[in-house]
Amino acid sequence: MTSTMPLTNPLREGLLAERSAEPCIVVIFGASGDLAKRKLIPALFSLAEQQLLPSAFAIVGISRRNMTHEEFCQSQREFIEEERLKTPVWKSFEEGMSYISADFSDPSGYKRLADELTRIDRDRGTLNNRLYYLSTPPGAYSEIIRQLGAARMVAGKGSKNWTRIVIEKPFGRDFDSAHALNEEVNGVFSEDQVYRIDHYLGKETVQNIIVFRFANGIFEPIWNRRYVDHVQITVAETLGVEHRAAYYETSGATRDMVQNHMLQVMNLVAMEPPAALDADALRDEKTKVLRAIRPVSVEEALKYSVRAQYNRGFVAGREVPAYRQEENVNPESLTETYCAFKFFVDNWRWAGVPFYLRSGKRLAKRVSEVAIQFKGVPHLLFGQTANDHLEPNMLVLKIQPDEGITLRFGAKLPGQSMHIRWVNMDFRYGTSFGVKTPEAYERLLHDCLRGDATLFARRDSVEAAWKVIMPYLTSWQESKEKNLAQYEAGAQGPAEADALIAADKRKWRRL
Amino acid sequence: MSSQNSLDVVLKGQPLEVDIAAIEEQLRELWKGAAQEDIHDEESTRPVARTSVLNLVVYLEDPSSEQRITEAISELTMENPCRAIVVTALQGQGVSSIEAWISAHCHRPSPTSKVMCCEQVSLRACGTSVRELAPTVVPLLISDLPVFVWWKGSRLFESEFLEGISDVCDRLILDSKSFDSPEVDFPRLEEYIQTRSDRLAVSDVAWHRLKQWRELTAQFFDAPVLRAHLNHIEKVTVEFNERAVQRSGVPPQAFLLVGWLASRLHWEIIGTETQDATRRFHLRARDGGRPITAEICPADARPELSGHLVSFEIATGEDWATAFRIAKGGNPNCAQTEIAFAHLPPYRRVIPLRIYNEVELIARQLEVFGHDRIYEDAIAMASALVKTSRST
Repeated sequence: MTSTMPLTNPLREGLLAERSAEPCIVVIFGASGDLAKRKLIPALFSLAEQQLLPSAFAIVGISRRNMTHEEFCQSQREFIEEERLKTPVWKSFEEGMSYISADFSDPSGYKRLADELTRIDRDRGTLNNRLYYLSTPPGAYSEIIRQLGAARMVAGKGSKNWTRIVIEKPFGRDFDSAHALNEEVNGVFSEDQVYRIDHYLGKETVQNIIVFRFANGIFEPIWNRRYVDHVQITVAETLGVEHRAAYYETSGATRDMVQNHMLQVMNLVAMEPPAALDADALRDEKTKVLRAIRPVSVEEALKYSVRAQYNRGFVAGREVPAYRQEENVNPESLTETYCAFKFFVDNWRWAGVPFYLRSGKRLAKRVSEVAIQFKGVPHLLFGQTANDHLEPNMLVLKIQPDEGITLRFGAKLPGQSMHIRWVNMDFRYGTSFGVKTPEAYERLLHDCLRGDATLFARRDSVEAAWKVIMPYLTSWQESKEKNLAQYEAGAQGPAEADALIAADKRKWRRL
Repeated sequence: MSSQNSLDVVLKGQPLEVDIAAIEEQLRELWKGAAQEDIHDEESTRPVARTSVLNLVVYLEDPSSEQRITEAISELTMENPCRAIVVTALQGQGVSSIEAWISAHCHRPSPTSKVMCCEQVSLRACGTSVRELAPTVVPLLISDLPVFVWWKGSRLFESEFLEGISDVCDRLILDSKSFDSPEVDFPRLEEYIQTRSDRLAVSDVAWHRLKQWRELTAQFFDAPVLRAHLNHIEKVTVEFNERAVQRSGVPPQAFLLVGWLASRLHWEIIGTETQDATRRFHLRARDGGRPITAEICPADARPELSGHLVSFEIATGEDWATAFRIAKGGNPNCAQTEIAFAHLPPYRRVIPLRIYNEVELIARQLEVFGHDRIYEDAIAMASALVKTSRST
């Protein structure tokens, strides 16, 4: 058929998804695992229910476990409600699923996978487009990537069809391992084919930071060192390590939360306005923030950070054991369950403004938020008449729970005297938009199917984030037990963290 | 009635009759009292908070639908907190007068949060007082919040009320599915949109119902390799369910669907034929002059069919060798999509086809601001289609 093909789909204009997913097959490595059945398959099915999957679509699961096709389908039904499984939509969705049992290091498994993908292309019209999802332990990443390359299962540049790969965190456990992994990945996949997933960026409230900053003209003029005193970013959990002790022992709070999620959030708060809302423009600006974070020496690192472990205590009225007494945790473990940092972003916008980050398990309350504290008034007009202490203005972006935005300001208490009370002006997602927000995986998988990498981490930003964190990890490793603080489970955090911020005559927000 | 009793009545969703001149004052008193106590939980001391992100004016002509609309507003306020003003115009009925009531819709978004309340003002005008409705409503709108008018009346295009409020109205919500005669009403709607485009935008509930059909059609051509077929469309067929259409003739959505496709692909109308209930339009691609036939016809009568539209098919290439088809079957909540190439088995899949209730449809309209250019283009093309059809 001879044709002048329209560059974009003219029928897409005006529809919710301006850019939609092309026909493709999603190949899930590690498909028998928890992530696939808890998150990936439910998210993909939810997209199917919302008509957000492409017109031709299939899923191939691959893992070591021996399973029949029926057993595989049965296992994937576990986290989908009974009612939804009875619909013809699930039946049609399930008809597009298949399973291959193979060892990831066995080339014959990839041959069988390639044959299966060719068959599906022929039968379902998936047009030779592939999305590989690595839902395996990180130790298997290199092998799978190498084998995919060796089996020529990756579309090259200039190809009419596309291949993408999604890699779950952790992206390495230090700078060297992250760099080595990236070298291996980019040896087979070009960077624009790689989607490093950080589910935190799929959260509505995290994305709202971009909207809040760049869709509202009133905040930008005060979003800088002239008006901002400091920024606090908090991710506090009441949970302990639960069933993740084996992973957590090798990770700790810094690798688990700060190196990825919290630095990504900090980037969104601190970055310059991007030239466009496209993947590279946004990620360029985020990476510039990481590069502007003041580097510290291994010696200085202790001065700007705190690490701690929780002791026995009470959380929500229930007694909980100390970290070292948790199941599968080394009784002499040095893994930090709490960490706090003071960073400086050395650029024109933020010079001299500290960014305090803290994250911990078994704390008093579950809170994820960004608090921007503004400078006080230059002249205390009410000093003579008011007995009140003048609090600074504070803008709090609440990520979870009670997702929303709070602005704190002073108001006159009604009466003859000039008393000031601090009041909050609240915006809550739950009350202004009573709609259910989509699961982070749904959003991110949909973006990935559409080829939109805006919310995924790029190689340079992953490596830059490791560079920021490495001096701290190195100094903690060198100082062993020394400087490992303790805090009671259910508390606000260790006293050392209070001292870190108190040294600057500031204090943490109460959880 | 004491102020405490009034508060109890209103916050529990019951209407409280008020003097028109004192509506704002009554509302102020109400919220002042409500801020001091929690009506839903006697043991709790959490106060009630009022919230609004828009003004919603609902225009009715039938008092028997007031209760249903009030219930719909109660549901709408969960997602779209607003000040609702329900206007019932009883033209030519009773002694000229306007009565007013206030009530509230309260919800607790989560067990630990405050009770969030929205207010409703209801106005009922009889006789010649109907003319005073617009000037009564305008001062009741909350300044700086957008104004949506949900039209549930007849004679939209001659409405004095709508004309009176159009200066402050940001968005008019109507349902072209209810048009008695698409041949007359689409051209009038097109003219209405054009002449008021600098003042207000129009939302059409029927357009939202068509969204799933448009989305599925667009999906066929997302892959660049299939997109080339858009330049080779030979025939478009819309089948409708004759039994579901209340009056005789073609349902308005069928014109709107063809209008959308034709406007997006820049087709021009050459002529039309009518044969019984079938309309056949002859069109031409503007760039190459390629002829295209668009046919709107009744589907074979099958008892399991539901809704107005039954199928939509796009055939491309010589002898319609490739067909892209969306068809409803026995299950009203599903449709089957199919891509059929000559000499190959078709690719099929079943997808959900959501049936929206009225509240869901209106809720989606309240999320949209500004003009929907794609809709306006589709209306202009649908209007051109029916005008051609009328003139032959």
